[in-house]
Amino acid sequence: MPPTRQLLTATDADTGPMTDREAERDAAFTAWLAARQPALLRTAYLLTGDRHSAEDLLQTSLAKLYLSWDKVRDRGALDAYARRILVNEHTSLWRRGWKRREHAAAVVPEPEPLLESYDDGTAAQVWDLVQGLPRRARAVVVLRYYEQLTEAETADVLGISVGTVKSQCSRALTALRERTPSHLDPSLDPSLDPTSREEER
Amino acid sequence: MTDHTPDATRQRLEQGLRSRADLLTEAPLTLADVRTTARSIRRRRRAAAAGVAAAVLAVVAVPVGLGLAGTTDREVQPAPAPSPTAPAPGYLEDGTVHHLDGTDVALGGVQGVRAWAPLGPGYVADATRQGGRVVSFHDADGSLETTWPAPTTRSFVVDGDGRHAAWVLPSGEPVLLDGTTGELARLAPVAGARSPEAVGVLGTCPDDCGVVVADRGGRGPGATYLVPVDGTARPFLPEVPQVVALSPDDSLAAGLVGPAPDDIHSCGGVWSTGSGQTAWEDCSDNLYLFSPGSRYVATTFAEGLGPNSLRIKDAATGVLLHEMSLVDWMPGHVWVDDEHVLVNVQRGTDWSLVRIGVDGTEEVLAGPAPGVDEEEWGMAVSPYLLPTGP
Repeated sequence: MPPTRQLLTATDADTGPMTDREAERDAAFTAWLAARQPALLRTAYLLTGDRHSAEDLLQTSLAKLYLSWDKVRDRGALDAYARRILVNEHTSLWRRGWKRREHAAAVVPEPEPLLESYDDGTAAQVWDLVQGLPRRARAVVVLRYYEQLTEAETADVLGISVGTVKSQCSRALTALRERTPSHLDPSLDPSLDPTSREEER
Repeated sequence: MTDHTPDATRQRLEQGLRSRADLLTEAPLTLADVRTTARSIRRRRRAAAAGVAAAVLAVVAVPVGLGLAGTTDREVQPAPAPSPTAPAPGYLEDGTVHHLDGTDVALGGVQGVRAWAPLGPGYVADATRQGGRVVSFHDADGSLETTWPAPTTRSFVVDGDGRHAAWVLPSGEPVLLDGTTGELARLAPVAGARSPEAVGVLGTCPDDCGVVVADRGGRGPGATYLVPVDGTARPFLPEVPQVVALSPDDSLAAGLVGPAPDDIHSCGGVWSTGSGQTAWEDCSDNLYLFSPGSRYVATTFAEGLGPNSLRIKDAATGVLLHEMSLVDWMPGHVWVDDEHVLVNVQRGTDWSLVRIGVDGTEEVLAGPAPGVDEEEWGMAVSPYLLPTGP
């Protein structure tokens, strides 16, 4: 066997040189971008808490995805890959001490909360709670309760254990319960407690 | 932990998030926007890579110049300058690297990290992905770049400048990962080796270096080989039955020669890699880790549950400079600079990270904290995982 200095095929993504199919790649990326950008913007908005920061985060994340486009062999995994970049980039921005732009609201109007018919006034409390969470706990809550990922999927995106996902979710729900006035939370209303009803009977 | 929170609270949380986010239906970014940012990122990555290369050149130049001035291979070279892109080492906890300078980086896409290290501008880890053990390569932000098959025995090793990692594939082939480019070079296997594992990286990579591989598979103490990137394996320091560590400046190697007279400890010491001459020997410890500048060596004795004390010695003479007081368990330690070792310490049921200086100073940097349950060990282990040192 001759001396070797070969490149080993990677198991996840090839680190070899990119192919010269830029036009085809750009067309595919543009089509994916049109379909998926609004959803990613919403996730970015929940992670960052303001519209301008969300667009900055999204632009950087999409650029990283664009640079890695040819490495993602499984096109069905693009959304998960993009979500992973988005969340990790958010952590990175925070790590660098990147500050939210104070004038953001003056440049890009913030969306007013959509008050659904079933909203009873706790939407603002939810928003305050989520935005007050540490960044990784916030990411857990957004992925789990907005993106509706499973605990295992959330753990995989964030690179943490399922147990940590469970504990972060539990803490967030407990905090929300504690902040919700009892008259707005059926779970805290003794009149709605099945046990109480049994006793009344 | 079971979630006992009523579904109503969860529904409120989900509705609250939707009420804020679902109004956003725009797609404000165009392909041109994305490409502009991508070009900027690409330029930044190239600049970072060039910075690492320049730092490596500067580090290599120092020992060569001193060598011409008449130093011997026994003399210890000055500590290499740290890479400008390498953050201060720290520890990993729950998948996130906490650097001593206060920055945090989550290693994404993997779980169950067994070992990790800064590598070039990014990171390398021995971890689990999709149920399988892999060596993963991450960029500076912790995003997963790619993975390769992991070794079956000892994990990866890192070279002295923190730019290359090496390990042995399950096929027996040593590999060398360039942390700047992400390129993996496959080297020639050691013929006849039964259980080869990487001990260190020798020389100046990528073109003039090799992986030092020890074969622990035989009945005896084993043998050690140097596998150059463009050649076949040849014996390395045959005077030393079992090489266990290399100094970052490549001038010294630590090794074991056999059991101590008390049949408990091991006899070993430090040898010159250039002449093969013994620098010093003793019969106490069996784990050796050289400081970044190769001036000192931290030694411990591991058996049973692992080491419970640590000694810092002059690497060239073996003179004891400081001995850490006994603890219940200290399963890991790493040099954080040329004067300090960071040690993972268990006292009772609590864990701490203690920084120990060559001058005897001890400072608790993290903890005390309770252990975490680990299925593999069936017991509580440290919540902190220190990086693999060079």
